[in-house]
Amino acid sequence: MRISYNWLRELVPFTWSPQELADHLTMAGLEVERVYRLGEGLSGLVTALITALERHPRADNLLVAQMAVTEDAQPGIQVVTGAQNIKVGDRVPLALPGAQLPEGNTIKEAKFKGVLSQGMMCSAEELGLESSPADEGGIMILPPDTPLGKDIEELLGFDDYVLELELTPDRGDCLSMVGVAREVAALTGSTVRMPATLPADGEPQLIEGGIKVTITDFSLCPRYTLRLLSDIKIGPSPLWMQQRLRAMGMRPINNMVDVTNYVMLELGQPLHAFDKELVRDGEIIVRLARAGEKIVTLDDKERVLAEDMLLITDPQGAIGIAGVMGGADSEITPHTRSVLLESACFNKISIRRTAQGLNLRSEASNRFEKGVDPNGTLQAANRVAYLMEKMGVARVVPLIVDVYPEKIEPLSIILRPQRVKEILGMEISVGKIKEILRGLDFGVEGNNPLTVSVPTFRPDITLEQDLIEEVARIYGFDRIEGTMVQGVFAPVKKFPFQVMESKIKELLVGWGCTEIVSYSFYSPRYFDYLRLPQDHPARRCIPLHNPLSEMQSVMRTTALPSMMDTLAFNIKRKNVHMALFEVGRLYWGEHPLGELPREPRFLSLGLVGKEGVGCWQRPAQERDFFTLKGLVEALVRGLGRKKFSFTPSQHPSFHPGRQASLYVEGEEVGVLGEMHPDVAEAWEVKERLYLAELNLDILLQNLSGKILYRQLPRYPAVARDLAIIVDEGIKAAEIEDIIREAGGDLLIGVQLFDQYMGDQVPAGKKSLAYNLLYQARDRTLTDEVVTGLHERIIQSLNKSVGAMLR
Amino acid sequence: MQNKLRTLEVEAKKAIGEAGSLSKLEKERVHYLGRRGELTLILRGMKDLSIEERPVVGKLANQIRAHLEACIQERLAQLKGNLKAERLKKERLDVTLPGTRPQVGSKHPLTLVLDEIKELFAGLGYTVVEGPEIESDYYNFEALNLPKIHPARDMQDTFYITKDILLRTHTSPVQVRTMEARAPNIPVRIICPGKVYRRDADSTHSPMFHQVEGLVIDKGITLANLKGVLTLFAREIFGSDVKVRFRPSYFPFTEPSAEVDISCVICGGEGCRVCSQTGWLEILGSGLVHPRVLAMSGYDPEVVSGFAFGMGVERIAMLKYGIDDIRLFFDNDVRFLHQFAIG
Repeated sequence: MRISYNWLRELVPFTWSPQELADHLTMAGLEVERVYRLGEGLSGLVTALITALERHPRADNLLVAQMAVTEDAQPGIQVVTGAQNIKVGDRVPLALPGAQLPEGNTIKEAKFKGVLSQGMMCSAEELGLESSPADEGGIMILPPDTPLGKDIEELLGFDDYVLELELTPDRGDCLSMVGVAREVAALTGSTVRMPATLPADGEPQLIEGGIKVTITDFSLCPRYTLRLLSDIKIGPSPLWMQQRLRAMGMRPINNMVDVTNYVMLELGQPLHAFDKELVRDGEIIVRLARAGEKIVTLDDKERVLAEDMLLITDPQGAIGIAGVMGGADSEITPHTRSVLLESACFNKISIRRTAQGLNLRSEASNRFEKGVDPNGTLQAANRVAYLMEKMGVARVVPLIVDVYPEKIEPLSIILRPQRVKEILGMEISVGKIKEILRGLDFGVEGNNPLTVSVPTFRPDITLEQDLIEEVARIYGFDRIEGTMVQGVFAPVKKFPFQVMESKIKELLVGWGCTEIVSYSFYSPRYFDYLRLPQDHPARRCIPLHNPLSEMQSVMRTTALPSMMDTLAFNIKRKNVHMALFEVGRLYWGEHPLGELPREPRFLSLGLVGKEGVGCWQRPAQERDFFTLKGLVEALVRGLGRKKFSFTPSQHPSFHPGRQASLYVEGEEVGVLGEMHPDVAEAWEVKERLYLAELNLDILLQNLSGKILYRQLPRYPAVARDLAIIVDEGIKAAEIEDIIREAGGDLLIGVQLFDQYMGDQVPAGKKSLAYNLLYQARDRTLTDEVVTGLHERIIQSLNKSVGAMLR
Repeated sequence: MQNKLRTLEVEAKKAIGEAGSLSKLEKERVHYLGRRGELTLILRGMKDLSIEERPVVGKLANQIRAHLEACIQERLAQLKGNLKAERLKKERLDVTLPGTRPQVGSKHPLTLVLDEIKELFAGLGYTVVEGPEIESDYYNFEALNLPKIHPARDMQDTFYITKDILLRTHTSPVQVRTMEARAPNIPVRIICPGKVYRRDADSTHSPMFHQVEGLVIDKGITLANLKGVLTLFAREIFGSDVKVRFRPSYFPFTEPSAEVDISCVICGGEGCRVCSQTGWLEILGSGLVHPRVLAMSGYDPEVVSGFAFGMGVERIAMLKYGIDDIRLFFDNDVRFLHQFAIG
């Protein structure tokens, strides 16, 4: 909503500058987004008459105009133009040499293909204005009675300021100059000067010519007012009115349409003018559309209507979509002689549905959706009649149809003054409360409690608390002193997940990993990229009904694509050494979704390239499967998990020989490994990528986080090395299990320190070297005991996996 | 014999003094004082001396041994000192060469801001609560006083999954869930961080972003209390010199409602591009919990009251770090992310 500063001052007295006005409105809850002077940066433009027009001798698309800028219409200026909408006799804005345009251009004399041009004719857009149909796409055509040589700024009322309001959806009443004036009045303690209207005409009577109004459902149209205007002379509206419309962002059309728009801006009541001759059979019926019914609207588009859309019709068909847009068939034309002026009140939900359904939003529907005062229709119709008559372009016939079977009365609310204090936390006197509410045109009676009558133009006020907000915002939120909440602290519980989540992040960041945050949705084609078979559970994803694009159309069921995206994005930007992680949620539900899905939390890791890059002392190390596994192991340990293991896995997205599942306490937590080369290729990556995806809900379940101290050993430990040769296929984990089993309680440490395959061992064999640590808690171990255990381990290894000592 | 001893003493002392290295010194020690050294050799002649002479010579020999040992110690210390000095002189590093740094990662800037907010409110007695991101229409809208056809639903363009299930457009449903679970118990003091979704994408809007919502329910909670806590919040996050203003606004689930602005952190309130020349930046929405919302969640609005506030974490992070495009948060370019390494 735009507000004209000068217009507002006509409606309510105040002394604030435009900026002060903006500040006060903002602090009262009507946020002002922008304040600007009309024609900012504009100077040196005058009104001019085109006295002659001919083709440029050397350019078909250019015209050479002779122009007059004095009242005697003596040409004296020659201008070359590319515009096509002008003719001899038109009056237009002319920028003379030295003139400034809003975009910062300065006009100079110039030659166009040899012909001198001493200025520039301007379009409405070039002046920062809305164009009108008369001059669309070309030079702005001024009314024929425009004086010549006048300064454009003065003529167009450019000494005005415009305030752009960003209104909240509850304040439909402020979609009008009078509504904003009412706020100013309440803030300054002054009174709104309501615009003049003709006196109301007493009892409604049937209009001459037998116009009848029928409303089929009053819940959709509680009130319908019609007023007849005759002897209409259609033409352009006066420049001052055009200018106000333009300043408020509306295009001038003709005097009849402009006046209805002007009054809508002024009073907030949308109005529509039908050409009376084009309304058939003398009857207007307000009814719902029939299935498949069509109408061509004022914008010349054919609209197919749905059965819940309210129409204005005559017995032969639709003449308008109620509250949204009129029909082209009954449109005002230059030949219109009499007008049926509609000023009605429609159900806001119905209008909103219709506007949404047709994807057709208008100034009218915007106001009806937010609620229009049912008791303001007659006043608005009268205001139009007054203006038309005053402009001398219509005769007002004192006949009105006003169908309003159930008058909507003001709501009455009880307001307890002590409740104001309880809610705001500060005392405001009863006198002040009354003054504020009355300033807003509320009726107030009594003292404690107050009985407040809410005017029908404020349907947003329904509760005592709403009234308290009105009092507070006019009194000033800034006058309320901030205080801290008193009382007992609720016991602060740290939820285990949040504690563990931050611990995971701390650990990983400490180990050189960088956290990422990626979108919760992606493309379903990623499941193909991941080589998932058609029946893979991860394909059972939740699709969005209205995604922004296919790339963000399903909720993620696995975090691997998100990590792949991030790695690929960075690699494309030449960031090739990375260790990344993400903590987030997955979304697992059946399709179609009947109830809310599960949202398990995941941790994903993604490694690529080298670590320690750029160190002059040590060579950087290529990351590999074991870098990733080491990170996962350290993390699982860091979270206090003792019983975990890795087993070879068969996830289709990973390298078949370089992947493992992590099991914690016997439950599968996730998978890690090198990505399958096909997957990397799908993301257009050549590098080897190492990813892990862990289910945090499982990893973190039943974590006690308890630490129990064990006494330090008092007797020395004995270390022995063990080097064995086994078949290449034997898993290290299996060997370690055998060693631990055979070593029993006295074996307190098993550390693999070397694996070797090559010339020194037979083909198909590998050598593994361990450091074993023996210790008893109650005695010093003798050499015999240690040797005995060591021998037992060797024998056990030999028996189970055919291990030979190296 | 005594002369022999004295001659030896002089000779040995000289040799010790001239020993130029630790090994030479050790050689001299063995030569003179070792088991088969010069001194021992001389003392072997003791058996030829008279009874009277023996103690005198013995005493002299011991004196000389002690003296020579002291000389050796002294020389040893001298030589070691020289060596150390020499080593220290040689061992020169170009200390301006880069150190070997441990690899340090970084938390996402949104995590940094969220952690800061959580910590601040934890200190004020707020518990962190989370809720589902895929929500029912009821919790996201209806229970927040936003019935199906409500113009305020336009304020939040929603991603739907079915007619009744959607991606939450704000973290407020967590408030409702918490109130439902706790009512009629008081006090409630929670903050709810999490991801939210709106159908909008440009340099300042992301279809996914993060919010933190706060809720307090107790007896006698006022608008003044809300102002108190949010003023504290704004100053803790943006600095103690920041100006804070409360301006009436509209949210269907609060009444009265207020937007909180801070003086522009870029221009200090002078007016710049970031604050659209107003000198103020909107950072959060807030208000007293609407009586209808309290009632729907099982609280009696005549007995208790509450306040709620909600803010966009991206917005806070953008202002705090001077980030001008919201998409940077989700591109995850490591050159961007590493700027937030604390190490």
